[in-house]
Amino acid sequence: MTELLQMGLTGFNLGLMYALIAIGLTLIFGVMRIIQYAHGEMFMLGAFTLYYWHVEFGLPYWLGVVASAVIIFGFGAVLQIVLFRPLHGKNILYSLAVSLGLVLIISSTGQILFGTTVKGIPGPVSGGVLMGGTYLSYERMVISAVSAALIAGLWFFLRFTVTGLAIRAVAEDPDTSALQGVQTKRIHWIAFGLGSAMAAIAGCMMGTLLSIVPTMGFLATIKAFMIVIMGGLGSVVGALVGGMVLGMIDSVVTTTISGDIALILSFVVIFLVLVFRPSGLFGQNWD
Amino acid sequence: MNTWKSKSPPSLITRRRLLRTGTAAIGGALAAPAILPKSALAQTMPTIKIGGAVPLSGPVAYWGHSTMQGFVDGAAVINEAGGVMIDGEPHQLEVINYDTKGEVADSRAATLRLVEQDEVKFVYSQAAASTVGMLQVTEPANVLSIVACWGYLQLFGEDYPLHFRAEMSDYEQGFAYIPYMQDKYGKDALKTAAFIGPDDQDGIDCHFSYQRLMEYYGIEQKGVEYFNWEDTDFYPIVAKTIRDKPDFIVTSPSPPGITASIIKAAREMGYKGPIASPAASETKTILEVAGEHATDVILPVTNVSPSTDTQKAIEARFNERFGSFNALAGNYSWWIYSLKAALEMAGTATDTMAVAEALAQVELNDTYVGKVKWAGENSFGVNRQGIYDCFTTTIDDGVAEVSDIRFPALPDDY
Repeated sequence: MTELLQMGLTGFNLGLMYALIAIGLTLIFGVMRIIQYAHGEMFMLGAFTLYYWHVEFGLPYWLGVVASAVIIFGFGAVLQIVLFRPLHGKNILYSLAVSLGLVLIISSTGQILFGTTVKGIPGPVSGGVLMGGTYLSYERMVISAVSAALIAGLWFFLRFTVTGLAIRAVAEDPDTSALQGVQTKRIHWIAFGLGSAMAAIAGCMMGTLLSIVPTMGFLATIKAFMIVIMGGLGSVVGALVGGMVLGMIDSVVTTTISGDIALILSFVVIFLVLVFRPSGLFGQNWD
Repeated sequence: MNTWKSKSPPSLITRRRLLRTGTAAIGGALAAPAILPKSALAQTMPTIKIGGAVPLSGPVAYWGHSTMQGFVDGAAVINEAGGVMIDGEPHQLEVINYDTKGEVADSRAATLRLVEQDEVKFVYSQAAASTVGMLQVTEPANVLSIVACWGYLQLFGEDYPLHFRAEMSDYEQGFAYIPYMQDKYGKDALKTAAFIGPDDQDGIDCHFSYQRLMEYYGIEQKGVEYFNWEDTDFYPIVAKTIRDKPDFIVTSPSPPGITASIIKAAREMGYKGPIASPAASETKTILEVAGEHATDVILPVTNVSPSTDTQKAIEARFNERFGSFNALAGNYSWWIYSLKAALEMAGTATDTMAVAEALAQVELNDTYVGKVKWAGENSFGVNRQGIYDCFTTTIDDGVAEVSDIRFPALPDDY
């Protein structure tokens, strides 16, 4: 029972992290219909921004998370305006090629600038409590709470604010929303920046729990795509559910069987979802 | 004031002037070899090229960079001191490095380039994938190789007479750190162990060495877990490992960041036993990532406190040359001095078999890792395994210090 609880807590924590990365990706796809392969690189840049802010310059941790989100939001917005806007409406392969190029450029530049040595970010809180054999780490609890609050905040933003409504309108039907006066170009860079900022915050959180290296974006992208495909392209709720499913598989199956089986099972679940619901659990048909 | 301006009117950069100057510069550069004496362009000494086919990017780049630094620094020091003396004639060393990305195919390509294009006779490498790729080229081409690679035996020994494994595997260093741990914790406290390593050839190799070591000391193996390099959260793997309640955990070869994540997860989940990481060789990251949880950590072959003049000089030079220094780079710094001694002993830089025979006899007493020699004749048929003083660093309550130095007490039949 204790072991099950520990696995559940770990899976819940992992799931929230995964969801945080995937939500940014699904937001970008939903609004712009582009596949942003360099999403993991935003995750990596977010983590390194916090590292330099907090570890190298000794500035406050939480302010660093905010700074990281703001900087990466700006970086994402610039990328959208400079690189992706000219490709709008063209074949998806163009944006795919650009984002793949970005992966190589950002991760190689990261290795040159940040070095290849693994680094760590000390957490804002430490310690924990052992409850009946189950360890509750304060750090994980805080990070889970922040992640959950961010996901809820994004949902609230999309649901109840004017800009959020405009984002959803553009995601639903860009031409009609433009006719209704929505500035689609503005919405595009906001959504891209927002999605990138979500990845950056996820990078800060995961970088704190674990360790950081310039090549860390690759796995984040893979996980995010797995989750988005499972949950449904463009669906925030789908990304949350997909993240939770993947987090639980990673935790429970790795602990009870092995990491390889967990990876295989993750893909089996994705295949099954695609067979029975080709648009994902909560997705719509984008054809 | 400003008299220089009135004497010398500002020279404007025009397109024509730029083209003229550029043409003259390129022409001069091309003509220089014919015009200038040879000594003005190149070293007069003959050059011995040493090639590095090492992972400079990817997950094991930390090890690759550390290996490369040892050769680059050593070559500069040797050259400044007059070079390598072969039959009374000084030779300069030139080090050429290519990135293998830690992949077999890239390593093979890098080694081919070194051997065929750069015509090197001496190659070094790091970790299993790069070593496997390198060996496909070096042995058939009669090129001598020195590597850090931890467990395989099928690519080692008499069938590979030009191949040297400079870094001790978990097996060899175990004959220093296991006795130390037994002294520290008591034999009865170390009856069972569990292993965590990467799910690749390096992990399999290290587990193989670890297994031989545990069998020798009669320590029961409680579990073996492999992680993927892309793994981010070590909670699941560590939870599974400590479920069997091993007396201690060995994680190998895990770089410092992963070692720290494993330590942190284990301690958070209440595991109290020692955790040894024979390849982390660095404490800054471990302390940074694991924080307060960094306690009862054993880091064999890790000298974090250079104390002799040689060790201090190496640390100072690396800091100056590369902007940083880590104990692992210190560990690898002796390889090139060993090769220099072999070249001088053999009296040739072209007959690699003669150099290999000489290298097997080289013993150095004052290196970053103290005393060094090549051993393993009884096990492998040839002395090709580097053995050296094992500096064991411990981390207790967030404090890292060298706690033990001893030469591995290898079995008589080794």
